[in-house]
Amino acid sequence: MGKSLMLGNEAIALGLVEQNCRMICAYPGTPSSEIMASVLQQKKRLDCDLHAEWSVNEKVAFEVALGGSWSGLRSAAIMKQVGLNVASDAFFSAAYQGVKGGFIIIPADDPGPSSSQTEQDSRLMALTAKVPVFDPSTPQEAREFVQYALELSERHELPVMLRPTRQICHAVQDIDYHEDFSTEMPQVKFDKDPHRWAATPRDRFRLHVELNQKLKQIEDEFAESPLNYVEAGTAKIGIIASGMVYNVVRQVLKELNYDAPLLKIGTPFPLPQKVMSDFIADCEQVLVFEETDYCIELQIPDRRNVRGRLDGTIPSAGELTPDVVGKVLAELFSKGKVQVATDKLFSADSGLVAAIAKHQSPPRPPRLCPGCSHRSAFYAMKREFGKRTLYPGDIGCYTLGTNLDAVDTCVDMGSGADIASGFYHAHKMGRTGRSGGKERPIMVTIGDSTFLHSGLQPLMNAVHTDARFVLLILDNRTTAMTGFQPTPANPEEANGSPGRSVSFPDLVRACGVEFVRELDPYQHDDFRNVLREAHEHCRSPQGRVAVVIAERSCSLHEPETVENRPVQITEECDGCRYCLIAFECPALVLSTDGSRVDLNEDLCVDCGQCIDSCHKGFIIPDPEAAWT
Amino acid sequence: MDIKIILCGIGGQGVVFLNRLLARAAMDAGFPVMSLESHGMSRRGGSVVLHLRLGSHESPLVSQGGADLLLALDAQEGLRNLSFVKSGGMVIVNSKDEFPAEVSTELKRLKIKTHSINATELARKMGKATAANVILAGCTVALSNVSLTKEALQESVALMSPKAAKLNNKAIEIGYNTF
Repeated sequence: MGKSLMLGNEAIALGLVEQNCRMICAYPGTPSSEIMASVLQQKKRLDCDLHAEWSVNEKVAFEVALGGSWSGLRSAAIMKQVGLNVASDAFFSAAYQGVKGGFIIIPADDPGPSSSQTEQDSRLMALTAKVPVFDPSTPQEAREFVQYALELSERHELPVMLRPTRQICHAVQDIDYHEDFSTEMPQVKFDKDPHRWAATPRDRFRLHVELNQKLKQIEDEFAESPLNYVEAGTAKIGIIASGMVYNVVRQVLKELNYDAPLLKIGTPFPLPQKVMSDFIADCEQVLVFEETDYCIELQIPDRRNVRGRLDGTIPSAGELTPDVVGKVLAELFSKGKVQVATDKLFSADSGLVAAIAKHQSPPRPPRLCPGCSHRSAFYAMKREFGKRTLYPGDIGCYTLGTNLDAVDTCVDMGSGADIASGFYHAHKMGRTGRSGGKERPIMVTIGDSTFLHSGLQPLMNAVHTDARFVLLILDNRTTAMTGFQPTPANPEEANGSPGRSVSFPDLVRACGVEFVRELDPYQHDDFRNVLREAHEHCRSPQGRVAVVIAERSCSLHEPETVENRPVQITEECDGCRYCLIAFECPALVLSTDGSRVDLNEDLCVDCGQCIDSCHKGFIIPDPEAAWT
Repeated sequence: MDIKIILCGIGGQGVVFLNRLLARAAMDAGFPVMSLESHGMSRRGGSVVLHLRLGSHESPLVSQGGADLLLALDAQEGLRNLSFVKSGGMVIVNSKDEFPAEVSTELKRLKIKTHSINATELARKMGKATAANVILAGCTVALSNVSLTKEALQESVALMSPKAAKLNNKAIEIGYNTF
């Protein structure tokens, strides 16, 4: 027994391990990544026999975990919310087929969004797939909900979702823990039942009917569940809330000294209608606060007295911070006859805000790290191909190539090469048609982990349909953005044991690519030459898609791989800012008076890469240092 | 104790470590703790803002004008997040300069106490420029009304990173004794 500070993600991992979950599969993605990292730590610390893997993508993670569940083991699939899109084919089907060992799917949502392409609400995915959802409000609750979810899953033989938001995943709380939980290995056995595990469309109708029956039973259970409860209040306006915003609402109500009855919902789907209608009937008006979309509100059949995201009372996008919640309540109260002292709400002081605004420095958006090999690859690519070239990009640290104008598109994982194919075929028609115009080079960038996640099929498709572009695989030998998870190209598995590594050149050649080169993007001139050759090959009559693999370890993950090449910026630097814009290294900073560029020695990693970014030769090797 | 703190800085300065150190010390002293960290995009060089509540398990999210304390590891980021501080609150900022006069006037009007400390320089003199975060933790127990002692902070930092315990102890001393 002890106390430990835990991220919500670590609390979820603890929940999984202490609930005897034996098969845990994940693909990294903010804000979910620390769940698996923590599972791996616990597995090591407790020396427990569980299969934990960083799968190649979310669909694979889901399906491997499903196999575990169908063999009788408690299993979990973990991903970020957009990862559920990738896994959704399996997710929808598995809801019909059901599970054996408790099966929990954990997609982490990202209201804001802080690091995702959408604000989609996984609870609505669950509603569509007909999978029950648990929606925790604190790390401690998230850990407890794992148990409820697994037990419900086993009782009804149904996949169950635990849906944390970023505000839960990355919340930190002191958590009590003990280590006397069951370590007994359950019986592993797959019972054949083709009408279920290999169900054909004829079976599927029956399975759908059964699923609906299960949901009805679960709704009845949820109506009695301690996870949905009312905190009584005397006010006429009632509030329904779930997730982190439940805490926020409580805090704001306290500040306002407004005694509203509050219905806390821990199980937003299937919504316990009896609990809802009783609560709504007792209030003059009801406000629904939930993130990220309107899962609870949507399920209320009679919304005449209900206000929320759907009717615009609450903003229909974005995180519900204390400031947003406070504003919503203050506006509502000012319209009605309710007397509430809204001046008690905390808010920014307008005089201070005005003074700050006058002295505000430009925002500090995310940037590639000093020494990042992606920057070197982008810089060489831009120098060689300039502005006219089309640069479809992909999802990873290197999406930040947008800062260098080296990424023109970003849709979803693996999309870059598909967009490139579309661009190529479209522009080719445009060239032969009336519009005329010159052929534009297309250079696609994709990271190692993303390529293995979903970049292979687009490449096959491009080879087969004869789309002509250069694909740059930026291989920094790790999944850097989410915290250095290994990929199948690494020689190690998630748990550190030796794994068989996938070879990029072999994979690419097997897709039918003939031009394949691997080289270090730090070799600026060679790299530019190879890119040019690659482009010439892909546009020659006998050519096809060309692939260049930019190989260099992440400078943050393996700093020892960065050669020691300290530089100096000479006295002659005239502050032209070319390096700041074109190379954009955080270690290069404009001097306070703007007259020159200085080196921030605390950030600089001595990679020496910026030398090529000054055409005037003002960045030189440090004469005092011996370059390696 | 129920204290709401905003911590800010630039990715790479150890804002998360500072957050964990204060949270850990509070937990070790028997207080409930809730915080909201930021993880993910921008490992180096991007703005980082964290919310920390010591003494309560209620919402960790601090509203504008609702923070008792702002801890800024970078002056520009401190300025950016000043409006989080409530009237009568406190700012501790790692900076060799004061805030611009116009801003200081507003802070005075709001009775917000501001303490500037060149923690990076002090840390560099100590031999580790990145220890500025721990120095700021020392300042926090000396200046603010968090119910934590210097010794409690030192015990917690030793538990968090035993290898750097000596260096961190010194950093806490420096921060504690500066004011």
